[in-house]
Amino acid sequence: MVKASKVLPRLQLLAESFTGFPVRIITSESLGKQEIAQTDNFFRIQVPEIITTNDSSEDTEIKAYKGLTVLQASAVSYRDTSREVLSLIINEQKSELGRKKAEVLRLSLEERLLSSTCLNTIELSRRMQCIADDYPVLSDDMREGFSGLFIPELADKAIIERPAGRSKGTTNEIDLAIFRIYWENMGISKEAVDGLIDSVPLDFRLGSHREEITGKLRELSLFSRPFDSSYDDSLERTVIFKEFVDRIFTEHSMASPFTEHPGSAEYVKRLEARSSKQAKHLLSAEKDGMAEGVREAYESNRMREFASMSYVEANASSEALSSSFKEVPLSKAINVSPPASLEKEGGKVLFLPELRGGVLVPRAVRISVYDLIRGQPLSDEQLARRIDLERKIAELTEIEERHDRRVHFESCDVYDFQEEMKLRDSAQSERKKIEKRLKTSIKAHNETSTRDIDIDNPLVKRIVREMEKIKPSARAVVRSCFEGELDVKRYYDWWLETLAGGSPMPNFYYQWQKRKRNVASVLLLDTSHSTNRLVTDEETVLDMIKKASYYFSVAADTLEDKTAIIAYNGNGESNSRIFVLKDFDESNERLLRRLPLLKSELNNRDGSAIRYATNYITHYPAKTRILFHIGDMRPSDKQYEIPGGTQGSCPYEGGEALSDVSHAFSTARTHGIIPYGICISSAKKPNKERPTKTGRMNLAVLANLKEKEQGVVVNDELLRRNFRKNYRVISDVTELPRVLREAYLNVSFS
Amino acid sequence: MFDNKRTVYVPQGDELDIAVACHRLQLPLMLRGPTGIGKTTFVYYLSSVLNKPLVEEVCTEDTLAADLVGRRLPDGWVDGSATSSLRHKDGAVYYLDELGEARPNAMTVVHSLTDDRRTLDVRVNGEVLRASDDWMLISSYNPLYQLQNNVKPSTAQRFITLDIPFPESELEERIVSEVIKGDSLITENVSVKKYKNNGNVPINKLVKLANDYRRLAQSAESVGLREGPGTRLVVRTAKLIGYGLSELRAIEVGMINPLTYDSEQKVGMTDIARKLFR
Repeated sequence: MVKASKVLPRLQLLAESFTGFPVRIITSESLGKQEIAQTDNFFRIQVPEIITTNDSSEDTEIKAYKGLTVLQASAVSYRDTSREVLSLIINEQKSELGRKKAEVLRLSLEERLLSSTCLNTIELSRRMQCIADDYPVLSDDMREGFSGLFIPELADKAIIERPAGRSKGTTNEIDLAIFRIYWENMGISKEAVDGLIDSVPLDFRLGSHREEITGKLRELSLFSRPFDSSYDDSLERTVIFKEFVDRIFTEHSMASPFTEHPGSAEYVKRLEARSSKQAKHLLSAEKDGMAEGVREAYESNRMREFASMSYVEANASSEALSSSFKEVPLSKAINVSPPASLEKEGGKVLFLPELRGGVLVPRAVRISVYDLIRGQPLSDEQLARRIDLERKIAELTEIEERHDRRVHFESCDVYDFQEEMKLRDSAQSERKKIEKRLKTSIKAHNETSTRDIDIDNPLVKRIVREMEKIKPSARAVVRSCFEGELDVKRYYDWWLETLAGGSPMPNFYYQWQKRKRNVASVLLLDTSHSTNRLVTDEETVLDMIKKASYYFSVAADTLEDKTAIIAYNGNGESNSRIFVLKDFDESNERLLRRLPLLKSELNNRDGSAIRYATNYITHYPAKTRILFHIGDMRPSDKQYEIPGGTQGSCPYEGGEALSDVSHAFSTARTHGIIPYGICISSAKKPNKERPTKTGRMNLAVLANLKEKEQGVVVNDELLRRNFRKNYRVISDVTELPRVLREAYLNVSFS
Repeated sequence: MFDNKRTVYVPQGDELDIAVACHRLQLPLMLRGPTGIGKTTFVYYLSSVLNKPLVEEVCTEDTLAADLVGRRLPDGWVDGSATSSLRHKDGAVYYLDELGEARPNAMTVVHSLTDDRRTLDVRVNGEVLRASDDWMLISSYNPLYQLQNNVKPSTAQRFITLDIPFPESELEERIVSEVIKGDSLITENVSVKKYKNNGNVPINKLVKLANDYRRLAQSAESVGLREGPGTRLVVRTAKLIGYGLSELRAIEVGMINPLTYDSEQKVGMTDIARKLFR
């Protein structure tokens, strides 16, 4: 049994050698997932997830995979008509044939009736003949692979099973003919198919037309010059076959199975459903039609989900808005103990200053630094639960020990002894139970907090290649040296000048000197709850940011630059969190292990994160140091108390927060670091609908109102001043990798 | 000079046969493989089999074109390694070790030696050196750790390329035991195969295959194949088939290996070759 994932890269190359442009191979199981959406610019090929052949030899299975891929890929090399051309034919409908073609097409594309199966059979036969002429060895391999797929028992069931509503003794002769020709084309021996079909009784109403129908279809599926044929020819032949069948059926005054035979469509569907999975995929050369159908259903589903989700989000943020105005005393905000598990799991705590009301308050924000592999921050409930369980365990251990001591005490009498033993054992079993619960809860937490990212490996290869190209060559010639390689031209100049009586300097050597980039950069990622917004069906803003940061790290690696990646979020001044995803000297593998563990939650206190990143990069020895800040550029966090305690509290938001961010950046600049801001604006497209009577709550409007109320105006101008020229706003997050690449190259090469 | 008595070499496959074929057909050979696999030992051994002197240049970052060609110093002309190997009238084995370490641009001076010209234009000394019929160029590099300092595709495509893998454990045991004895040259099992010349080279199939690879390289957006095979590669593969190598093996060393070292890609490209060849 071979899995598709094993052979995909091979198949891709094989398919590309046919098509000449990028191919994506999709397994049947991933149909309808986001992978489909990502393959819009590629030629799509569909293969089953698992193939099992009769002889279950790996070789045959791989050959079958090859065959499936080649049959689809060959659509390009052997002049398939594109969908646009097909629709053109439908629109034209000038000639009689055009009308008939259009009819067949309508049937095959929209309703997937018998005619589509017939068309596929003829078309596949055409392609098989082309391949046999073009690549004889490959054709033999394909036939071998397909014959491994032919499972007589399965097909047997599919044929003997008769559609409902038909009396015993009737069979659809057209189905049988198609079945026979189809498998014959696939390289199954005539005898094997014959043995199967001869056991099916003749349709008594049609009489002995079986041979005739099969013969006609066989004749139509044979192309005398396959290279000069095209998809159109297959279409034409389908029309001819349809007319032929119609005539026979009319002679017997029966309705043609092609047109008015609902049972026929049902039957084909059933045939497809019941025959093996592989056969089904072979039959569906019209893969796009099916994929689109699935996609539409899927999309509408997701849209509904999304709508409900955004409703929940809106509620949550309005709650957050209202709660952020509540007063919290300073003592409560500052004197919270550090997260219980932080120290144990290798994290550290440090305090950073913050600008409040124009005053720089030292040690104002407490920062917890996490290494995600070793430990993750817990939510309040999780923490409470874990502490509770640990407390129980401690209590039970104590009880257990106490009783154990008594058991071992010498003067203890027999009755006491047994009682103590009982108590000790019960405490022990209880403790073990709780320990098990704790273990499963930790495991469950780790599992649920992981979110896989799918890296586009071909893209990574492309990035590496591009960066290799633009990487400055490692060495440069330095002339006029006093030692090194002899520079012959300069030597003769020197020689001539000495002959002429001069006394020139003997600097006629040249040297190769290393020219190396000396760039270090920190990528600072905002992972607050706002990045949980969905961008595509499946992926959120944070997923995009994660991917972009990985590509960035790969590119920087190739250029031999140093990169660190830091993410941050937080919940108030006492619980600001920093996640070091990649240190300067760590490999990308570690980054890949940490990225899935990163979650988008809580608020963002940008100022302290920037200060942390500044500290981080200041100590790294490099000539050019760049600090990239990626986020929505709207710092917001819980309130803090204004020092002095007289004026009450103030939320970390709006202009107040921005001035803190501004201060943090100017500090960075004084350390010689180049800040670069990439703002992912969440601005949605303007709503073109007219406002309703009741109106809808618009968060952006609310935020604007609040800012006005507070008397500060946040505009891009302030941020632009902050970053000078180095500021970009993007509304489409999918562009992030491109923007980041441009930004990095501009800044680091200038 | 090479000392027969102290070199132990046990061939893993048909590498010796292919090397001898390259020598007969006057084609340059590239050895690729992980470090410590016996690439250099193989070259030493080959020079003893061919009975030709070995001229070796170990490439480093500081290797210059002048190191290969030679330089004119105030007191006269000094030969480089390439020129000195070419001056052997009866031919020699010229070995460029660790080609990937050298700066890619320095290696372009030997390009004229790797194609049908087989000449080296030493303009500084006013002469054109022609390689004798028995002169052979071999180079080696390790693609695994020399990724950063890659061999240029234009250089890589000039060599018949042999990938030498880690030996199987049985063979490795034998090698280790022989090396510990260390005093004899293994000659058993080492015989240069007598190939039967194939007068019926499937040229049209080879050209078709080359076109398939070029089509693949067009779509390199998604796979990372840098470029398709040039006509030179097709000619050389045809020569190897004509010499008597099996078709698929000749395609592997003559066309696939020079284009890529990625094992996944190699499997895929072999699949494509299997469209036409058995």
